[in-house]
Amino acid sequence: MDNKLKTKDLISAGIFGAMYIIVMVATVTVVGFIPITYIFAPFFAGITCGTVYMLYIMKVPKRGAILILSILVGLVILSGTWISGVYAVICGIIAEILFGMGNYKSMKFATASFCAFACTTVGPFLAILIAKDSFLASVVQYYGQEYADKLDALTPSWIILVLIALGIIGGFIGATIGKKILKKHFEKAGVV
Amino acid sequence: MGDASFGFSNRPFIWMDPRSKIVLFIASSFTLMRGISKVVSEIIFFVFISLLLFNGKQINYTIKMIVTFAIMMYVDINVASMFSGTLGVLLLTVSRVFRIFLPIVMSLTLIVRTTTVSEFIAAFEKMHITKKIVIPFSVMFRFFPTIKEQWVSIQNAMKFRGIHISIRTVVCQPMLTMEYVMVPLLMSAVKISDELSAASLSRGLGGDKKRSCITKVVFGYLDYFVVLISIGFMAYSMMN
Repeated sequence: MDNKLKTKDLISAGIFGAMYIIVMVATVTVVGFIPITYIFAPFFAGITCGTVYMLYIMKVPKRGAILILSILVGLVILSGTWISGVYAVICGIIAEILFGMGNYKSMKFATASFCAFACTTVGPFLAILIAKDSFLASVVQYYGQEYADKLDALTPSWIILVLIALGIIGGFIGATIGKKILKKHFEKAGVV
Repeated sequence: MGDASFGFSNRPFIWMDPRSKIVLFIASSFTLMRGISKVVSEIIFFVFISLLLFNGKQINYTIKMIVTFAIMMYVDINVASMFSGTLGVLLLTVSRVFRIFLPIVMSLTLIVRTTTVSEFIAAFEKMHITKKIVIPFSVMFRFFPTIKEQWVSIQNAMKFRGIHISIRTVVCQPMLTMEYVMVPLLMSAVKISDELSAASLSRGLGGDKKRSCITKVVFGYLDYFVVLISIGFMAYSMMN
């Protein structure tokens, strides 16, 4: 099979990028209303976005496809801090390598690669590590002082590792669900 | 699909370069995420984007946004301080959070509703960005409103069959709800992506030769003005 990206694949990338971002933003908005669940946002986003991601990489199993998706997602997350945009692309590269190890076919490696990719949503939280004060200041802007205080109590620096772990677990669950949904609906319909 | 007719039916009064729209979008998200501390500058920025949207003939939409903004401003300044405790915090949160997001949403609307895909691609090609980024990027921006349309019709179809999606169903049956939402959305996405790629291949997007474009993509006076103001706002928010 030809492993180069064609115009058709690039268009798919754009459309799935839009889908991924909408699902991600919707999940984070719904989950983010309570401070405690806001911390779990990467976890839930991983679960909901899994299906989109799996369908995308089944449809475009080529080198560079995941990287493009990560750039698109990164551009959106970028609006927080530039670090999270770079971080998203790094996650994308890791995901790309993992899926490449499975020769762009293996379902096991696809799951592994989404575990890496789901960590992109941790990006905005990276600010906790680097500049906690300014991060909390921006939270005050959005959600008010009370919310920020709660978030402050919940977030020592090591929490970032927990978040990444949660992202990976969420990614694993999401990918598993995604595979099931693909099998149930899309393979029958002959889409992938 | 209506990807081209969307932009062409709303020819703006003064033509704007897609690039300056993107600069405006970056400025809006940048300044507001950093937090505009002064209410005055927030209002100026809002009025500025509203005028640009009027220029793009998005009149109904802009009026709706202005009314929303005014109400939120009023609640923030006058009403919220009257209540103490949780209710006050809640009111303040709602009015602030959504108000901060309004300019971002509006500048995104400006990009999405008043630019055609070919304008986008022409502008990006002038910036010498590789095709692998340009095509997904422009498709993505044009696809956001389509998702919304699809979502509305999917909801209608589901209501017709007696399936309701609400907060209750999300909490009680999360897996089932997710399946009900994702499968039709993804199905339509796959279909549209096939149709769109067929359409753009027939317009010669797949070829190796350099594309020519009828639309002239040049910076006009308005564009320089927009870019200047955007950079001004970014610099201002950096200083604070």
